[in-house]
Amino acid sequence: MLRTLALLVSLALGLALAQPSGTLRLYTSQPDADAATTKAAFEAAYPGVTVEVFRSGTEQVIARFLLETEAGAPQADVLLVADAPTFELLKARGLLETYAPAEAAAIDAAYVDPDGTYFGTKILATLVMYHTALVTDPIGSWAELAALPAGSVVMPSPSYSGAAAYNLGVKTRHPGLGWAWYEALAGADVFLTQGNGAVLRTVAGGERPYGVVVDFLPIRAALEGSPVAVIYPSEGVPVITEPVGIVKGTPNLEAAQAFVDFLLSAEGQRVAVGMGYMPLRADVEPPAGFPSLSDLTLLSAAPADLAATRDADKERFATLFGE
Amino acid sequence: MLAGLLALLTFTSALPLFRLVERALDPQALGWLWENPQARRAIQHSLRVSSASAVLATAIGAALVFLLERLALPGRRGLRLLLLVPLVVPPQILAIAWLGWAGPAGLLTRAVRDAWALPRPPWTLYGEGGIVLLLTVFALPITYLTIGAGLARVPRHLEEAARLDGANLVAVGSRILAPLLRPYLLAAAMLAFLAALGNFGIPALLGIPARFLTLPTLVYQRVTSFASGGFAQAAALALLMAVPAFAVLLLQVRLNRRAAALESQLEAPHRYRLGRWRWPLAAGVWLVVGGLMTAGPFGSMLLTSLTRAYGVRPTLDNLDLRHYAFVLQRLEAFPRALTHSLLLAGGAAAIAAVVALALGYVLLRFGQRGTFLQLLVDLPYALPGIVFALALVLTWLPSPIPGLRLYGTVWLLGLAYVGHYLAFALQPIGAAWRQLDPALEEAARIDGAGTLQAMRFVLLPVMAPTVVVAALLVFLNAFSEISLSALLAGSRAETLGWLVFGLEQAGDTNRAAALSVVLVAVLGLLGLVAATLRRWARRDAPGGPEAIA
Repeated sequence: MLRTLALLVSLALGLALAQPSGTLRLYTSQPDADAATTKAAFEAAYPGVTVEVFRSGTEQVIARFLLETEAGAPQADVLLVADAPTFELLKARGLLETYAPAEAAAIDAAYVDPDGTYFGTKILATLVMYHTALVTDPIGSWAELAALPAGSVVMPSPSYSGAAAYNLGVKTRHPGLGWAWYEALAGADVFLTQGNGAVLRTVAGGERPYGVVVDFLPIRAALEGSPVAVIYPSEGVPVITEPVGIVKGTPNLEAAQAFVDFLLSAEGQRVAVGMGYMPLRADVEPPAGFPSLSDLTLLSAAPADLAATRDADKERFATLFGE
Repeated sequence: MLAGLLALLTFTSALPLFRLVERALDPQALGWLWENPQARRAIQHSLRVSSASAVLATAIGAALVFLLERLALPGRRGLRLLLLVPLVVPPQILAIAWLGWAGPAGLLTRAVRDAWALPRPPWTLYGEGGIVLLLTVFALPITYLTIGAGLARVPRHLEEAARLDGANLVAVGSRILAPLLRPYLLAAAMLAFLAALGNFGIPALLGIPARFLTLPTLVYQRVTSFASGGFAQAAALALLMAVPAFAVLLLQVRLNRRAAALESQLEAPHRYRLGRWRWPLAAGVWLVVGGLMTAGPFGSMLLTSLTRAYGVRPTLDNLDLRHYAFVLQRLEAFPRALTHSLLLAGGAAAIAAVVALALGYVLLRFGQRGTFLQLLVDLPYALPGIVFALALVLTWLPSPIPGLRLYGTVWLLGLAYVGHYLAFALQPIGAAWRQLDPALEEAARIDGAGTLQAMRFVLLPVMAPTVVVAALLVFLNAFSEISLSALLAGSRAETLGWLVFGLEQAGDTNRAAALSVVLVAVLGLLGLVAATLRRWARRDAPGGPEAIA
């Protein structure tokens, strides 16, 4: 009896000790409102932890983080940004901690780093959007997009957008598309923007009928009444997963691991759905306007390969499009 | 005083620049710079658009100053206010407002196309022409204020004498005013050139789609590319940007030495009557400045902020206040960012103006030996914001002063603002110092006044109006600053410009527009308060300028 009690007490103590606490410094490229929602949901689940958010574009976040690590003083505990190849680059420089979250079992292994340094948190598919008043008979594939008359398409430039750089790597490796697809677009007066937001603006404003864009922007805009609609091209869609990773040497490893656990849990995934993103877990329903995970055809390539040729691919793109 | 100035410049300029140079002197980066055709093209483009817009902004600014400050044009007070609007709007937002107005699917473009049944838009804002146009609009308030400050010092009797001798308005403008105003025209052109050279927001929105690369866009591209050596390449490019800045500076120093001295004028300026030209001229200026340049783009922006979603036709059912509700109620960081921006901009304005006043005096005494000092002041302004921000990060991480942690706090932003905007404040103040008759100080000295006394009782009262204008300029610009904040703002250290940037980048154009409208409204309110206070102060002071006039 006494022994059981002692065991229970020590267990309870152990639990209390294991309860993460303190400050967690999050670097993220999530939009302001989403970053605030993520922070609030996590703090509600782990009341002992206070999250400090630094939010900016993926490029600014990573530039800042790399500078800090170069100076030997990284100011982040967890990173939540853009795409897997970005994390591959950080991993190659030995900047990420390894972790084996129990929740990862519920997620397709394709979205998780086999070495356990980063984990996808949601699905961001790149698809085709169009202006509903300018297009009456929408196209259905990437191939048809490149065959449209000159001056029809707008897309983000890989020189400035991380997601676009990812797509470049994936599409040029796809046998049906390859560099020939980009060459066709280059010959059709394609309009390049700095980011995905500008693609939405250009199509919704009627400047160009078609755009290549990350899914949630046009889907949200359409729900709000913008004259836009989306097409999931028949060849499949490249997908980035906004992975989360733990910074090597973080002073608050416990809270960082709890953060990863939370984002991958069913509860955390429902938070992502609430913000209008497609979840990674099959057991969580996607929000209105999205297909279910099983209906999605993916275009993919190994993140490490993509990371290896990223610079060369971008250079070739810049030359091809005369940037 | 000199020691203090040097200490300040060490932290706002010398040390960050040194760190940048250190980073740039990397054989690989220099090799890249030498071989890369992109870099060469970017340099050419940047020089072209910056000089074109500087010339245009100065010419148009001078014409407008003459129209509004010398002629009895109806409604000039309102026009003056409208001209200053681009000053308070972040360049990114300015570009978006103009795209909504004169872009391919803009209100004006559509109206023109409908009216003449054109199959394609008759013009494009994307590419070189659009960039020059917007950089000119962006720089116009700067040139207007700088030249206006100069005109206020031209003695009335010179113009009156010329008029008595039978000179017409054009002759007065070209023979009397233009030569007297030359230092101010140059200062205006130089400020406009540097502002255009370092501007990222406008070429990013209008250049990238047309594949028209400029130095700041290329720098940004290199900084944010994960390519190893990207920082070094960006730093090398940034050093390159210092070359035209340096050339402009030397030119200015050389020309300044030949400038004539003007005293501050206490009498009210003379205004020429226009007779029957009065109304047509006013209508023309109102149409261009009020309609094409202000009501159009900013009306489009207002409409965007009120429209339910982007691209929706702005009919009555589609208009509501939801984006304002979001910004004012749900955007948790908004009150904090508003406080930060007010304090940072106010602090930076006060510090920069006072420091510029002292610096201007020192530079005047130093003559040509001050060139290096001047360069230290000007470089942080000429560099694109992201590069200067990087240099500051390199400097303060780890901190050069043990125990003092600036990185990640609003204080580093404050330092960045002071460093960046010091050149901005120094331009009008430096010009005013150079115009000041040395006899003024000499007379005070002969009467037995010491340096401080001469400063306090003779020089400061004369300089005060220019200092206030300079502080105002800095405040207006810093209040909506984006580029520096994008990298330096941090957790709980947000600024308004940074919030606008975040919304815009996330594709929330309508919300970004709503926040911009709020931003302009706050500034408008502050301007109104300032104007009211000034009127009050004047009414109460019996010996004020009004009494003399």
